[in-house]
Amino acid sequence: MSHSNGPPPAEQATRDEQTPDDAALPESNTTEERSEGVGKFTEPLGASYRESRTEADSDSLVTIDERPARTSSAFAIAASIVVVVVAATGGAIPSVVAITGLGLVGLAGVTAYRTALTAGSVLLFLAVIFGGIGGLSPLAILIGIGATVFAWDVADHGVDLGRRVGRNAQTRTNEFVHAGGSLAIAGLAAGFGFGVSIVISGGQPVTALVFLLLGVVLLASALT
Amino acid sequence: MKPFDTRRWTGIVAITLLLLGTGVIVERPGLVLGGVIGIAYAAGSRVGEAPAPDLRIERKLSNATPEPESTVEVTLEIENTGQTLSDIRIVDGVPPGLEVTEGSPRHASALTAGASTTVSYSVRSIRGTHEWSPIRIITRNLSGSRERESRHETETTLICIPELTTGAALPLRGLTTQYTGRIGTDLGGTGVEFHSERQYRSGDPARRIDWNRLARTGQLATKEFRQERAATVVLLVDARKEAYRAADEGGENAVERSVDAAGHAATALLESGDQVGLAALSPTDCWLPPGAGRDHRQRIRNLLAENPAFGSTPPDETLYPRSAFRVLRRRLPADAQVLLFSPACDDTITRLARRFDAYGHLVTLVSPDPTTDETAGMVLAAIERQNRLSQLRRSGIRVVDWGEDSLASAVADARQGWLR
Repeated sequence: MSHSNGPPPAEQATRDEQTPDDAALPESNTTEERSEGVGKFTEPLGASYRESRTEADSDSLVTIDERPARTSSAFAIAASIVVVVVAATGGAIPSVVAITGLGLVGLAGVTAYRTALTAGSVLLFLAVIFGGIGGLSPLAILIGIGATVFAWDVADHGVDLGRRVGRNAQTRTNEFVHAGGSLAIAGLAAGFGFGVSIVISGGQPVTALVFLLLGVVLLASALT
Repeated sequence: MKPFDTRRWTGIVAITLLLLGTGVIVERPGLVLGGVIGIAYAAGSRVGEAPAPDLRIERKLSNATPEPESTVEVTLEIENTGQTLSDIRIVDGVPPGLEVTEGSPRHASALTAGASTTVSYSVRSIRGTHEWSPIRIITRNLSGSRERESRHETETTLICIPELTTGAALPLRGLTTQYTGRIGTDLGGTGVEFHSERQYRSGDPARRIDWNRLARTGQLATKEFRQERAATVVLLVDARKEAYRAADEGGENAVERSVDAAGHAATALLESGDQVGLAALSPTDCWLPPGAGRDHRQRIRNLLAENPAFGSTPPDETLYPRSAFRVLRRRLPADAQVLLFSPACDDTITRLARRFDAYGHLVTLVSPDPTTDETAGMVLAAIERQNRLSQLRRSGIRVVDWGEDSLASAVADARQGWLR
C-alpha cells in the first residue's frame, strides 16, 4: 500500500519505544504462565470443549447404520429355522440347543454382535451333532449341517456389509449373489453326500467312509 | 493393492474334522457324511482370487457451485469394464466438510462384465471448496475368502462461495490513517462534530470563523471540528486447531462463525472507506494486504470462502504462535488495527492479542462463544474463557463476547462497557 507508510508521527514514536526485541518475549510468557496457577490447577479436572469434527473422522461423519444388512440376516434366520426343524426331529436336547442357537443368530442379525453369531452358529452345529448321535437320518444331518454353515456364511457376510457399507446403502444384489453362491455349494455337497449315503446303505464300516472322504479332499486339493 | 486372506473360513476345517471324528467314534455314517459339507465349503473358499476391478466411474453433481445450505445431489455412475465382480463394495470419498443428508455414499453390488450401477445421495453445501477424495473399492471373491482394496480417482470439486452481506458495523478503535473516514479522532480540524476553538490565524477559511464570538467580544476565533479519519484494519481470523469448537453437536464451529463475522466486518468497513486486510492464524498461510475497492471486496470474499486456511475442518499441523506473530508483525502496516476473531479457547490467543496491542496495533477481539454448561468440564472451560476475556479487558483490549444472539446485539452490549 502506497499510503500506509504515513501514520501519525505520535503513533510511530510510541511504537518505536515499545518495540522490544523478540528475545524478551519468551521471558514475559513464562511469568504469565506462572501467574496463571488456576489454569494449571484445574488441568487434571479437564476443561473440556466440544471439538468440532475433524478430517480424521470423516468416515464417521457420514453416519452409517452399522447393523447387518437386512437380506442376509433374513437368510441366516431362515436357515437357522431349518436347523431347528431338523433338530426337533432328533429329540429334546438338540431342539433346545438349536433354538438357543437360533436366538443368538437372530440377535447377531439385529445388532452386528459377532460373538453372538459365532456362539449361535456353534450351538446350531452342536444341535445337529447331538441329533446325529441320537440317530438322525443322513439326509437330515446333511441338511442340518448345510443350513448351519450357510446361516453362518450369510450372517457373517451381512455383518461385514453392515460394518463396511451400512444398512442404509443398497446392498441387495450383493447379498443375493453371495447367498446364491453359498447355497449352491451347500446344495451340491448335500446332494453328493446324499448320493453316497444311498450307495453305502449296505452297511460298510464307517472307516471306509472316512477314507472315501479323505480321497475326495485329496482330489479337491489337487484340483485347486 | 495386493489381495489378502480374510481368514473367514479358517474354522471350517475344524468343523469338518469334528464331524468326521464324532462320526467315527459313535459309528454314525450320517455324521461322517456331514463332513462333505465342510469339505465343500473349504474347497469353495480356495476357488477364485479377489478380482482387480476395472471400472469406469463418473461423478455428477446437480450443482457444482451451489449457494450455502442448499442440497446438492451427487450421482455416481459405475460401469464394470473388466471381468465379473461377484462382490464389490464402493465407498465414495465425500469431502469431510459436507454432510450427507439423504441416501448413502456407500454401495455394495455384484457386477457382471459390462454391467453398470448408480449410487446417488445428497449433501448439504457449506462454504468452501470441497474436493472428493478417491473412491475406495473393495472386491472379494465369491466365498469371501480373499479381499482386495483399491482406490479410484475421480476428481470432483464443489465450490460454495457465500455472498458477503453487510451486518453489524464493528466499531473501530482510534488508530487511524491520514485519510478521511468515519472514525472520530481527538484531533481538531475539518469535520462535522464540534471540537474546540482556537485563536484565529491568518489564512483560516472564513466559514470557520466564529462570527458570534466576534460580535460578542470583538475577538477573532476559529472553530475546530473533530477530524474523522479512515483506518487500516486487518481482520485476523483464528483458524487454529484449537478454534474448531462448537457449542452443540453439528452446530457451527467458532471458525465458521468467525469467518462469517469477518465477512460482515469486511463489507461494512470497506463501505465506510477503511482499508481492510485479511489474515488467518493458521498453519496454512493466508494474507491479503489492506486495500479498498470492489475488486478487493471480491478478493476477500473468495479468500474467506475458498482458502484452505478457513476450511471447515481443523488443520492437521499445529501453529507456532511465536513465528506466526513475527510473520504477521512484519506484514502489518504500521498504522493497522487488528480485528481479531477467536473463540479464545486457550491462552495463546490472549498472549497474541496483548502482544499485538503492545506493539501499537490496537486490538479488538470478537469472540464467538463455543462453551456450554453440560458437564463440569464444559462449565470450567466457560469460566476459564471468561477469565481470559476479562484479563484482556483489563489490559485495555476491546472484547465483544459473542454468544448465541446476533453479532449486532453482542456489539451493542459490549459497547456499553467501552470508553470512547
